[in-house]
Amino acid sequence: MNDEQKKPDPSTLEKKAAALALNFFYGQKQALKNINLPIYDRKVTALIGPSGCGKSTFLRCFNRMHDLYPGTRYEGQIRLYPDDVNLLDKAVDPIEVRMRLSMVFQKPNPFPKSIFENVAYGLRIRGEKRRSVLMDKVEEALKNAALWNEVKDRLDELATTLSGGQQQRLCIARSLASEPELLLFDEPTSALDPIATASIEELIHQLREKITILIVTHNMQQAARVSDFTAYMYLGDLIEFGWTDDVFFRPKEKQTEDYITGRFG
Amino acid sequence: MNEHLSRQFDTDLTALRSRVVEMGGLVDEQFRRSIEALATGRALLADDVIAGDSVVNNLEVRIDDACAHLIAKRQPAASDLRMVLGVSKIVSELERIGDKARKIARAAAMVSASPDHAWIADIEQLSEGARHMLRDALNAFVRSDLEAAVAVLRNNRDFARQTSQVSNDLVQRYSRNADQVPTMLDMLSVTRAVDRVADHAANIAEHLVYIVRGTDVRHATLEQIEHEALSRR
Repeated sequence: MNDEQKKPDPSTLEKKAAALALNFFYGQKQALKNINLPIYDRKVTALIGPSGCGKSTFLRCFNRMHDLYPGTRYEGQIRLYPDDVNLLDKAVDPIEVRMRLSMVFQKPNPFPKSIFENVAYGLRIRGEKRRSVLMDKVEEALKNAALWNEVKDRLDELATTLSGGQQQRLCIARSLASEPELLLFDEPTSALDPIATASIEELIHQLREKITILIVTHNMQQAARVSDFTAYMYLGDLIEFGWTDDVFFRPKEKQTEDYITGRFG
Repeated sequence: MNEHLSRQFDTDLTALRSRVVEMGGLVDEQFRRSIEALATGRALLADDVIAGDSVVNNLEVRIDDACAHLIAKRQPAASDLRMVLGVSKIVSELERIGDKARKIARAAAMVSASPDHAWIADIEQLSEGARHMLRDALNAFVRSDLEAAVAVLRNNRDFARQTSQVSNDLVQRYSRNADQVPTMLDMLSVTRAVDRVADHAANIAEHLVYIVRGTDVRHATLEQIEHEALSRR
């Protein structure tokens, strides 16, 4: 019965990261409640849930973005493997963390520089000055972001002259150039048209062979299309986590069922 | 189950379900009348059943089409998706029952030329049993009642024994008489058709397990299905 539906037991998969008993507070308000969530290596994990469920808050814990705002507080851990470091440890420098992880935001945010300089930016910060190395890395990143063919003859033009979808792929190329271990996407296509969205989704599909991806999306069908695992969150709680195929076909929790079938309200 | 935020989606799903029940009622009536034509030898009634099959076929195509449009427009997930896929499977079972009614109506003229009253009495009784199973399966569908669905599957096991008994009797009584073999073959094919109606009703019950549980039990044993359908979630 249903042999073809059986997928490997996730506990046999290698983890890239894991949230362990993670709580997060904005002042008095608790935005994340005891989240335990594995992020499997070279898999795409989607975080879904209604506005205010904590999915973006969760994503931002990974690169310590909350450190920028006073009054926020973490409890618990986010461990990054294979070196098993706690990203939330006060002794861990947030800048270090952000070098290993990379975030792509809702709206494309290219720097007001040339296409080339946008992609080379992270490498220059790390002290890379050799033009040939920069050129190679920029080309590789743009190819991995499926943008190379469109921009290879205009690398010196301002990045802001690109279309929205191209700008978003440029931001992905900029992230990839610094060779992150984990790519964080915060609603990466919500400002894009369906064609540009499809190209980003195709890109995610290709990238997952090489890199671990965690994506927050409001678009449930997008989560269903691009992810291997789905986590459903509600009011700061992790309600359900599992293979995307299972979560979208026969979720275990009624709350998940109501949300993905549009009965939420 | 709560309502969808989109009322139109609820309306579409409810309409889909009621069209399945409508089609179920129609094939049940087609089947009932095919047996009546067989028992009474009324040729006009048999012709009516044969002509009525195209209505059943049209309904299958239209409901399937509605399923395809619902998938295209709503991208249903989880229980909604299983409902739409399950409906598409159920209507094809119903269409096959319609085919069996047509087959029985076609055989009616031949068989009723020299009626075998004992066999006809058996067939009338068997067809009532098959109709019960069909209606039970459809009611189970309407109420998403897995216990009722499992009861249909249990009945089908007994039913298969009864029909094979009737078939064996026919073979025993007729096979020594060579010139009656063609009539016997017609009667065997009607008996087989009635048995298949019950099988299709049982398939509908299996599709309901798929709709409610998300498990495909088409090739499972009755014990496995009972476990899957009746274990608490």
